[in-house]
Amino acid sequence: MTGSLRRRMLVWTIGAMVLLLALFCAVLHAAIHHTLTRQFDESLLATARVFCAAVEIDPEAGKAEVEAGAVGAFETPEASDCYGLYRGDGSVVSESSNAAGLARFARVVGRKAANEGEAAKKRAPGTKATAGDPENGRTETAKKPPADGPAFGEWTAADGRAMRVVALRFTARSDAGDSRRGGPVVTEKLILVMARDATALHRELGVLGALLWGLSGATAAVAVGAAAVVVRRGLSPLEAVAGEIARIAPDDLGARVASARMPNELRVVTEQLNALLGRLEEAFARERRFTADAAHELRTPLAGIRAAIEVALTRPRDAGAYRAVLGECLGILTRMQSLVAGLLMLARLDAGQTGLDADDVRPVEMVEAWRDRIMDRLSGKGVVFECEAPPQIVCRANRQMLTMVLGNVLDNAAEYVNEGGSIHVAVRTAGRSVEIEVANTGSRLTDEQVAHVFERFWRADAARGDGHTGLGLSLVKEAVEAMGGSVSASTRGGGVFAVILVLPTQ
Amino acid sequence: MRVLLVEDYRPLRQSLSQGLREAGFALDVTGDGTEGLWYAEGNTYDVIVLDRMLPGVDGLEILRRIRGKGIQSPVLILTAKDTVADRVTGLDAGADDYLVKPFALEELLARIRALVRRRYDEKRPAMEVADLRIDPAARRVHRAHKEIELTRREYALLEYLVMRAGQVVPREDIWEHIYEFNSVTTSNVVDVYIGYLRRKIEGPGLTPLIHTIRGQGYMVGVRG
Repeated sequence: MTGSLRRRMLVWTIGAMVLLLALFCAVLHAAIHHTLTRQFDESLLATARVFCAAVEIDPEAGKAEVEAGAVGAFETPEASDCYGLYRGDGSVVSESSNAAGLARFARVVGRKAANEGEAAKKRAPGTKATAGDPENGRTETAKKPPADGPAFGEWTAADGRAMRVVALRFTARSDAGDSRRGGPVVTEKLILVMARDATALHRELGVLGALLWGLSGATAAVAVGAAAVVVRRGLSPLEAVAGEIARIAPDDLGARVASARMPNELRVVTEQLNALLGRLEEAFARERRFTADAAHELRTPLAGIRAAIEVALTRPRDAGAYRAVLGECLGILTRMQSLVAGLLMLARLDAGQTGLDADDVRPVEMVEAWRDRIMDRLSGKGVVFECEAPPQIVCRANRQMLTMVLGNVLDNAAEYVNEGGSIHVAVRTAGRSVEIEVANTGSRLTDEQVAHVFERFWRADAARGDGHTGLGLSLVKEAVEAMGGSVSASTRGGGVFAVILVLPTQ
Repeated sequence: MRVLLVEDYRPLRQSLSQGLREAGFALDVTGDGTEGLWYAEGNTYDVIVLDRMLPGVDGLEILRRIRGKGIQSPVLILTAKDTVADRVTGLDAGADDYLVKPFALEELLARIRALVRRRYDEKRPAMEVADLRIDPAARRVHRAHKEIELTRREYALLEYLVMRAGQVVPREDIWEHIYEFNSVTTSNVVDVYIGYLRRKIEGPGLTPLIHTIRGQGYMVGVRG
């Protein structure tokens, strides 16, 4: 779906409206045209039939003749009709004075009759013939041979008048009175063509048509305007929202689009948009905090290195003093290096970049591997290290990452364990996962503080100790989650703080 | 001049204490906020250098509490937080200066000297009393255009007295401003050092500048 919604709506609305109007107008026009023409034709046909009744065969002459009264009406100066009476072969029986050219209708009807007659002879007898002319669908014409039905047409008279023409085949007979007198009834097939001035009809139809199409056109024009207004009105909340969204500056993610007075359809969109803005704001704030924290964490050791070197350089010193400064700086650098590595790891975990291949790993082996380093660090503090881990327990994890995770958790425990206290590691299966619990005594964390231990750079007393980066447990959380596991932390009575890692077994 | 340094990051604390002591300051050092507060409340310091994030009591909290107690010592805050909002919060809490880590040692020293000058209402970077001239930045002393070599302690004593030139300075004040908390000395050591100083900066043909005010203390200046 591309392009302008407004244009699309306008085009479709207007297109549909104009099409419907045109269709409506065409149908109405056709119906009126048909009705008026038919009325005209029927009146013409009625006149023609009356005329037919006035035609009779003179038995003596054996010729058809028209009663003088019937003919007279056509010869008055104000007469608009004209007629022609023809025999089957097209020869004229009688014609009104202005009927020049009407004969061709008779010829057409005659030829048609001849063809129909032959066709009828070929057809099986008794088959009902169908009307040849659709104008002529009435029942009485259907009973007659079709060729006898009236045919209608248009004709332009010699004087230029538009005429409506009816051609009618009928059988003229000699007078009944003559037959009563004993003479034979003489019949003859004749064709009457009668034309009537249709100028008025055409004018009426023209006026009606113009009126109809004109009105439709005007309606369409108004409809186009109305549609444009309606569409613009309908879409105006959309533009208002667009304007509001456009006003949101990139550094102002706290802004929200007001959705209270929106139509329902738009409210859904703006609410979703606001929710998205909220999530973005949160993510940006987290990112900013993280960057600030990271900068802070890197600045302090940098300040340490700089001060150490500057103080060393203020005056000449002996080799031992320089060596001490270099050793100090190296120590700081080493911790900075591990901090940077941790930050990089977090960034990669955040970006989901670490392709993790999982192995079957025995947690107990890793705990054993870390035990010596931890105990070295704690030597002289009288700390007891207990490990309660059945060797057969296997979990599914990335070996390198789980090593790092356990190292961090144990490091954390070693950092906070009290003198003469204990570090307790327990590995157990729990359903389809493995639980690794690392607990240490000597914790002074409150339940409220425990909720923060997995946050980056969080420390119970908001200040760095000596070398601890404050990144350890947050790294643990992200790494374990990247391996499909979960972490939690809790405190128990007696100053016991426990971190529990849950890892999948498959 | 006596300075208190409260900084919890051990490597920085060690280097700074060495640097500040070598620059001639009498220095008390701690890495803990609670202890820092205790030092600040119990002693008179010419400058307090305070890290902002500390275990125990936070740096800003220490600042608020000592200002609440009416302690006037200038405070310089050291911090890794460098946003405008952070600086404003620090200054508004009563800090006199603000230095973002990492910083140059020279700058820290210069700022501390500036705070000392401000504390004694002294605008001139180099001070003169008659023909005696002291340049604290270079830690040099001249008398009648002749440079005089002084030991660290002699210099500290002279600098303090000159800073308060024209005032009678009690022995206890002198002792408090040139000795660290841990020093095992008594205030009569001041008399001994005054003797050393007199021998070095006074002599035949020169106006006496260091005067003993019986029962009160000492005063530097030209007696009218």
